Amino acid sequence: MKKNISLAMALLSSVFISACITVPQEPPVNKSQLALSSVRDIQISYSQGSQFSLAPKYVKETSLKTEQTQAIYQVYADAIIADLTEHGFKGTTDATSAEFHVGFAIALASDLSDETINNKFGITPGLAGNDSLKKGSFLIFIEDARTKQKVWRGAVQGFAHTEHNEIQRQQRAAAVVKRVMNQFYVTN
Amino acid sequence: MKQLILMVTLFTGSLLLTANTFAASSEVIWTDYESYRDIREGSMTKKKFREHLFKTIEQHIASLAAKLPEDRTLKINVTDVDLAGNINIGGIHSIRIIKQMYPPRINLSYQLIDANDNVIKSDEDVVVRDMNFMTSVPLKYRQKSFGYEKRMLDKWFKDTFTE
Repeated sequence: MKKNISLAMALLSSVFISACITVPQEPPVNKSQLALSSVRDIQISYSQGSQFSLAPKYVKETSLKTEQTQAIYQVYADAIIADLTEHGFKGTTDATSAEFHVGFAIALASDLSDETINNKFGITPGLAGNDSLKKGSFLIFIEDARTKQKVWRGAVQGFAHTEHNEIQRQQRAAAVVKRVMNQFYVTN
Repeated sequence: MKQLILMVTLFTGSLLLTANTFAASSEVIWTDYESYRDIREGSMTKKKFREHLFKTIEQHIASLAAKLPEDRTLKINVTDVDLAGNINIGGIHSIRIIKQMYPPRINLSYQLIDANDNVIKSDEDVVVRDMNFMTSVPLKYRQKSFGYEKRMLDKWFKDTFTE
């Protein structure tokens, strides 16, 4: 019995002592956390049935291998096409017949800093980095095919899930694309 | 005695658990930013300054959302911004004059949703304003970009989401 009391007291004391020690506050870690932002630059609406073409933009030098980059771009390209199609738009590979182009880029923060994103793209969701996780950014924009002007821009930042298999990667990409594209649809 | 041990175990367990249950996602939409009341600055181009403002506020909102439970998403739609102070356009260089009579203001709507997209809390028409913005600015915001606006958002966040 005495042993149990001692054990309980020791446990309690350790909790109180640890609560009294001041350590720098680490930002909360949630691997599924996303930060997202978007802006509507021009009020142009595209009706159901409008054609779009994809225009992936590649970051020049990345830490990923070419095949890794291509694989992740393909997953996101498929997710974008599926989402736009679900909302009544039609994909085309002929850019000249498209009414709008959908540009997108994906990169790790180590290859594309928030500073660069802000300078080149104008919006940065501002997800705080974490030493134990790889932060990544997904940038997407709608450009009017006729005027060549950006109509809408969206950006998502999250943490890379390196443990995901192919199916999980596709599901995650679909969820990320859906979240940001919803902001385009509500302003379209 | 068993009860005591159980209580201690539960207590310590809850402490360990709470460390990992926060960090909600955030979504920010800047609607019709060309019509915002005042997001000008004298020393930067209009576009550069706007981008700097958006980045700073987006980061701040993401950090505030991180204080909410992790299965939540805080969606904010910013519809108007009037920065603290006023631009004095006289002379070659325009400068921002900060006076009590020019408080910061941000108009927004927000939704706090759970993992199943159920709306937990929302408001379509929020005017966030801080009439006493010049008094007692916290040390962490002194000499920082948009410190008045950050503190104003902190107060709104605390009033709105502290249960």
